[in-house]
Amino acid sequence: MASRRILLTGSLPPNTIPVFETACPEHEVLEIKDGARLVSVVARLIKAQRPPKLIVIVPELRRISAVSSIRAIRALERAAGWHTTPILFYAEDSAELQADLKSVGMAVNLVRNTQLPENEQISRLALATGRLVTKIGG
Amino acid sequence: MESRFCPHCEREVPVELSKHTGYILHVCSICGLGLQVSPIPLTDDQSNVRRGLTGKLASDSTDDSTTNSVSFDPSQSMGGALAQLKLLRKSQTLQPVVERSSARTDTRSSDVGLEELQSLSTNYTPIAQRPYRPSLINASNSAQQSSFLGNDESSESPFGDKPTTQVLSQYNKVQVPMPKEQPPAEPKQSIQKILLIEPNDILRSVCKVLLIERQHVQYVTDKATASDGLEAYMRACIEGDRPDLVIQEMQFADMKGTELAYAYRGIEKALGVPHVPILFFASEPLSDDQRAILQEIKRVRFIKKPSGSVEADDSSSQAGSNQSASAAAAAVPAEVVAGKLLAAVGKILEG
Repeated sequence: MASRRILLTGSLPPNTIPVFETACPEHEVLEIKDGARLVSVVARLIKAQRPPKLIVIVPELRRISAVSSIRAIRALERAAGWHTTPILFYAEDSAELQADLKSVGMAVNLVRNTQLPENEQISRLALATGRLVTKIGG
Repeated sequence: MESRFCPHCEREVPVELSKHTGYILHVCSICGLGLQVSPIPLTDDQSNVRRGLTGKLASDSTDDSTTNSVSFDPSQSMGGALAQLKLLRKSQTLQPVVERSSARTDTRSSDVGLEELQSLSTNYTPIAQRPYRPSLINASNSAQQSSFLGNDESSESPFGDKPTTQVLSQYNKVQVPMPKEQPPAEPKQSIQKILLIEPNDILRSVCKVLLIERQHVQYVTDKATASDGLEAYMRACIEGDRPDLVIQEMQFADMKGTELAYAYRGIEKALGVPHVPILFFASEPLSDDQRAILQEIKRVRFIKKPSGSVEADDSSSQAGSNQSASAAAAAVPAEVVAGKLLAAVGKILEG
């Protein structure tokens, strides 16, 4: 059974966590700095049989890129025989990205509008996360 | 001359000493009646000899000779006096001997019983029938160790003592199977399982076969993509059967080799297992950024592929339907590449 954890990964401005906690009040939001740590955290949660409920990725990620991180997470899930974790991607839209997300499965991209201020971008991402969590069933 | 009262003559009469074996008889010089019997006083030499033979007599011999004398009873005959003398000798000289013999008899009867003797006779096993016990050998003794290994022909027995001729003959009759000299043990091979991730099918197959045949690796898990390799590594970690070495390319279609290595380290940190050594095997030399990344990843080694392997890969991909012919054409450079890989793995195994 999935836990009520939401993993938030990427280059995020400060004070992001309270916004997400407001949007997702019944969930625990965990901020992770880079792709290697994201893989490590997912591996630990899979080992504990408490995989996260949702992973939010905001490129760019250090050490392991965003798409490679998703592929690595899918590999870990296959190895453990666990179901695929939903992933919310927040990046500028591109055909290559769409193809990558389609190949990994259970991943959607919220198109990033770079024209908006950073605070508004975070609020928009947090609102989309809340809606997605509600849609998943939690 | 001594005088004694003679009851036959009823007066003091001089006596004559009649020496006999062991005693002196005082005889009346007038009537010839025996008046007194006394033991012959011993010389010093005789006393020492008797003291050694009979311990109790030695203490008695120090007493006054008169205490040992037997008073003659005139009512008795000479034969009665001699019988009394014999009793005296028996009581003084023979008694200790009798006591010693009886004591020896008592000791035998009390200490060792018949049942014990029977059990000893049945439980006793001759040396020739005793089982060979090499554990008694002290391995720290080099001489015994050499004899144990059969290097010293004239040697002592493996039981540690110097055998007599009899024991040696019995020992030879047994024909104990002595262990032969062991050949020098091969160095322990620490790498038994290898995870090989290589996108080139031919190179991966050749490397897998050669690693098993020439480097005696138990098994090689070969994967073509980074995701499959990472899945295999994660599964091995969960099952507790981690590979001893990972050999992989530097660049995959779905993921960089360095990203894959970071993923290994993330899994290892999460599961609490030590870092697996990674051997990168790439056709391009390392850039400065890649060199810094490999230093951060730790426990990695990089080997550059010899030129020509890329052409072999291209020729096999361009062959289309004629896969077998192209595979045969690409086999030679792939073997060259695999040979260099094997040399590197051999150095790792030696080191």
